[in-house]
Amino acid sequence: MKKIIALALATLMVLGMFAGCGASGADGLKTVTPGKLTVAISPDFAPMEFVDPTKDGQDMYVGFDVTLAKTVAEKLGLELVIMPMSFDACQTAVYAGTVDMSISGYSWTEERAENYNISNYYHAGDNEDEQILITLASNGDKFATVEGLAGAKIGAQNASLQQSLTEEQLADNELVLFTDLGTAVLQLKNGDFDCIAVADGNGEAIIAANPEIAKSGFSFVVDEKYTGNVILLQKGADDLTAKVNEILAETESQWDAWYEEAKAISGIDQSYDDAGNAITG
Amino acid sequence: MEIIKTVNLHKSFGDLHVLQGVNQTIHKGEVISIIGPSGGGKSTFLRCLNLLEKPEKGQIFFGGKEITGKNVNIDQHRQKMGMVFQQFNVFPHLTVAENITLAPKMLKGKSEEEATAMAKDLLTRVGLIDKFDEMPGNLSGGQKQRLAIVRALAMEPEVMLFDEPTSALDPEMVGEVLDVIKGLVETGMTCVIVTHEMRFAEEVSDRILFIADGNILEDGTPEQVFHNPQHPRLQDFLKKVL
Amino acid sequence: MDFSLFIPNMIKIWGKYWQLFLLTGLKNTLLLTCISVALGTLLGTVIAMLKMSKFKPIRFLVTLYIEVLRGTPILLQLYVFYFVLPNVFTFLKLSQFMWVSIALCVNSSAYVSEVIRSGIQAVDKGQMEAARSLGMSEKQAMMKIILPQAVRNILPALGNEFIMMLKETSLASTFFLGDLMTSYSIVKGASYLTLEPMTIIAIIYLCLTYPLSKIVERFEKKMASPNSYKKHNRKRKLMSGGKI
Repeated sequence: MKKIIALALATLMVLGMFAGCGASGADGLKTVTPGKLTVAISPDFAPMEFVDPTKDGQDMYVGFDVTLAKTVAEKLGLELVIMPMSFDACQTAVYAGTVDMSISGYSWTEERAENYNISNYYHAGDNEDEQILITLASNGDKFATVEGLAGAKIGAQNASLQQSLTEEQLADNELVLFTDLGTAVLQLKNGDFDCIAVADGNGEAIIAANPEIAKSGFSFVVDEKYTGNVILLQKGADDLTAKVNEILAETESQWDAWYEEAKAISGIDQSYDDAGNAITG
Repeated sequence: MEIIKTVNLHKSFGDLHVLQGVNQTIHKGEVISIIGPSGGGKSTFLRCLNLLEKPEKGQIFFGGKEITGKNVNIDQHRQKMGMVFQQFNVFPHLTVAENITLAPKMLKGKSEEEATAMAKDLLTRVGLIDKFDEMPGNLSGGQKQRLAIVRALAMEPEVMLFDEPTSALDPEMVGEVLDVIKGLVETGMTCVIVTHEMRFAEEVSDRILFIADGNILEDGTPEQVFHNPQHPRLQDFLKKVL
Repeated sequence: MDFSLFIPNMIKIWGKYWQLFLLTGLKNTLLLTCISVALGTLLGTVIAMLKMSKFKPIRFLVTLYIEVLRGTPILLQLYVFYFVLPNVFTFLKLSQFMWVSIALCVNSSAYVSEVIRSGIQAVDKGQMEAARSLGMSEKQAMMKIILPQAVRNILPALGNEFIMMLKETSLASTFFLGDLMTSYSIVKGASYLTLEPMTIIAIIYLCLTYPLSKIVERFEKKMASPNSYKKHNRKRKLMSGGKI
């Protein structure tokens, strides 16, 4: 018996890579669990996806991407099941066939396109359209221009749009990569970076919680190809990808409203005012 | 009547050839003391008799049956060979009484009442009856060894093997343990005793075996071995210990 | 770095999220730990027995099992149990929480089996010899003589394993299973404050582990005293109605 377990452990990793999965739904659409749409999200990224601690179960996941996931499931006539996990694990989940898709603020990259089916772009308000630098408020507008930024250390998330933008447009600056935005904020306060490159929406959420941080005044020039987010689907799930693209086209007019709503629910709320000392909610 | 017989017993630990073809016959009712220098093989010989050490070569007969053969249930033979260890090896998690009653109840189907009555009787004989409900952790070394002896006796063995029963004791406790063994000898029990207590060996034994260099170098009455030693190794040994 | 906002922020975070930390986080951390250690101990006992088996192929496989589990990062094992095994055992309809619990339990079993094995081997060899010399079989001696004594080597080590596991369950936050570390991730993601929620969960973890390690320490001391069996024995007598 235990022999089997030991053997299983050694071989299953390999086996699992080949294990196909999926079942046919009523309308011929294949999903991991029939009748359900399972979506992996990494709910630690307000206002795109985060947790509202006043709610329970599936209801506690909120944010732009969650609204999008709900809409997709509804239009497909499927029950939405959100599986929360770390950002890395989200991608593994799609790859391993544990979930149908992951909606977690992905940017398009060539590597992702090789290993996954990728949806058309969607735009979460100005979150991706506007890419900025944040810095300590005490720096004033010191880092507002390329000249002022000369010699400054810029932090950007590994494998992110911000990394590409910084490499393109601030090529002379020292670029420091990080994996976790929350930790990076701490490093900024600690003086490890002079600035962090972030999407505008994330920047506002950060500033709302950290009054000693402000926008530097510098904005990147954001090329058309970078402005959108994409949904990650299993390689070969072409029917589902097509359906998702249809739904994205249908809902485009609602995106701004979703984004404003998400911002309103997120930490950009009354409990953190400018002075950083009001305690409500 | 012979009770234990060994034929050409060999035993090695790694490169060390500890027993080199030992032949010996022990008769019922005999009291035999085994003396000799450390590392000479006396303890190994004793431990081979109930197969705590497995000889590589040679045969051991117990009560006429070969116990070194295959398909022998050694557990059954061991029930008839009590053993007392240098380090006592009493069971620390059981009371004094339970130390004695556990094996008879488990292996010989004795009832609780029978086993307890026997334990009381045995403990009275060795002067430990007031320790009946104690834990062995509260006993002195000498008391522990007396307990170990009656624990073995509770299985009603045909022969008792003693492996240096007083070597780990403080000097003032040696006497009490030797007295118990003497008492046992008087009941006619067959005893094989590995010991360094020469005076005791001389007093109680019918026969003395001198084991050194992996074999029995001298085998005789206490009178012969202690007062008229023949082998130069024995003469040398006695000079050192007496 | 400016620490003037640290305490006000902590108070804010605590006020807003205390239920998340205490009701959800603490509860799930304890639940995961208890499940993994309890099942891990059962499985670990079996593994330890197999490790001492006389049959060489079994010993080899069990050694492999232990070495793989102790020699690879637990996060990697979680990935295997979370992503790979559900695809293989599709007939098992287990929740994500269960898969992670199983992963932690299997991991724990490898450590516990070594704890049990060394606990057994630490019992004086003379005890086995004495039992065998009375005519007990190896199994009888193991059950009646060795294991009851090994328990007192094993129990304190199991306490330490519990404390270890308490901390290792934080890896379950990779899958947002609601443990304390998940609470931290959630708060961090919603508020972009890091040090403050981290300090809060650190205090909660310490409130769990410090008293526990003190208890284990006392227990260890008690077990080491020569009279330690006495109380056990009395207790057992009471439980068995005086018959032993």
